[in-house]
Amino acid sequence: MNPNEPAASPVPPVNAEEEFTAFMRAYQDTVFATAVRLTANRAQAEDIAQEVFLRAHARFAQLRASPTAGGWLKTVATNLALNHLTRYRNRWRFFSELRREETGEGPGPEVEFAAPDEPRAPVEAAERRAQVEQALAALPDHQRVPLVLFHYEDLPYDEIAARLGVSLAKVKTDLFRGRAALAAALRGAGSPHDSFSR
Amino acid sequence: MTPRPAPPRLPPEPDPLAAWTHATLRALPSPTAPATLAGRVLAELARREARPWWRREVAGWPRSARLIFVLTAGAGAILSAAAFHGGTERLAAVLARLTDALAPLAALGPAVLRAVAELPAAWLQGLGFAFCTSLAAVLALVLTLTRLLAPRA
Repeated sequence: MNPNEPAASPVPPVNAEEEFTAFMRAYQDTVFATAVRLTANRAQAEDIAQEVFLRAHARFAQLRASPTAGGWLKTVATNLALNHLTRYRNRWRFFSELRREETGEGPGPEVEFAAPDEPRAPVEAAERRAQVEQALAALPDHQRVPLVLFHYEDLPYDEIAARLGVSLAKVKTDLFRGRAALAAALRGAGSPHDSFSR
Repeated sequence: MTPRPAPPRLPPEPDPLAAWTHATLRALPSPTAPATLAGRVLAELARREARPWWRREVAGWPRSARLIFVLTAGAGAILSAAAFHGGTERLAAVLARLTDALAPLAALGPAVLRAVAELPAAWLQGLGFAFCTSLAAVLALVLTLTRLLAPRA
């Protein structure tokens, strides 16, 4: 079963509005999660999720019985979030290039990253999840967006490049830097870490 | 001497940093939507339903308004096509049909036709272009003023 597809509602809805409300409640977490991971902003993600469901309402006759409704909603949410971020894309590029020139970052620095498999107490695990969420949200858009598209949406490099309108090399570089920055942020937050050299 | 068989190709070594990132991110719980989201969507749908027809998309207009819009746009398109591709004779024929259709203007038809027939083709094309541009500009102006001045639903 597709994890994006919700379980069937136990009580059949009475009218179209109730049916649409049930449809929304079934998919709202999936849509919102996609938007908030890409934008790292709950208010913007809520606006995007609202727009997704307004579009879904316009074609609810087709979606209500479609087995791929979850995929359609995720795709629309991804596209709307990317459109939203596209307005700032030139700024990402500018600062990305500027920072590289200023710091002279090389492609293969040694990276230390938190060890994932250590057993943790529940409080420590919750704290660590919060640290990861904060570190991910704090990444610049040009690093966070490829990370989310690659690790959550399972898009290949070339499709990420096409969606973002950037080169394949830039996607790979931003992914590597995003992972390294995430690892560095968690190391700075006190997580136990391993060492990795590229 | 028999050549040594090539060693079997191994899959590329997985990138530990990528694997670590994947495991770390996938371990995060999925964010949950705010409880207000469904209510917001329903309220926006209700607000859109309450808008007057001219503030909706064309598909939501009344049938008569859509018919008038289509007829006007069609007439404009025919006039433009005739002016740009048909030359003087075809434009004169289109104008003749239009003149016949509009009874009060029928008396002016021959005079208009004669005047049109005497005009050079370049002039007709220029007039057609100017007419279409003016029509588009007036329509845009009216729509903009309507949206600016009409009270929000």
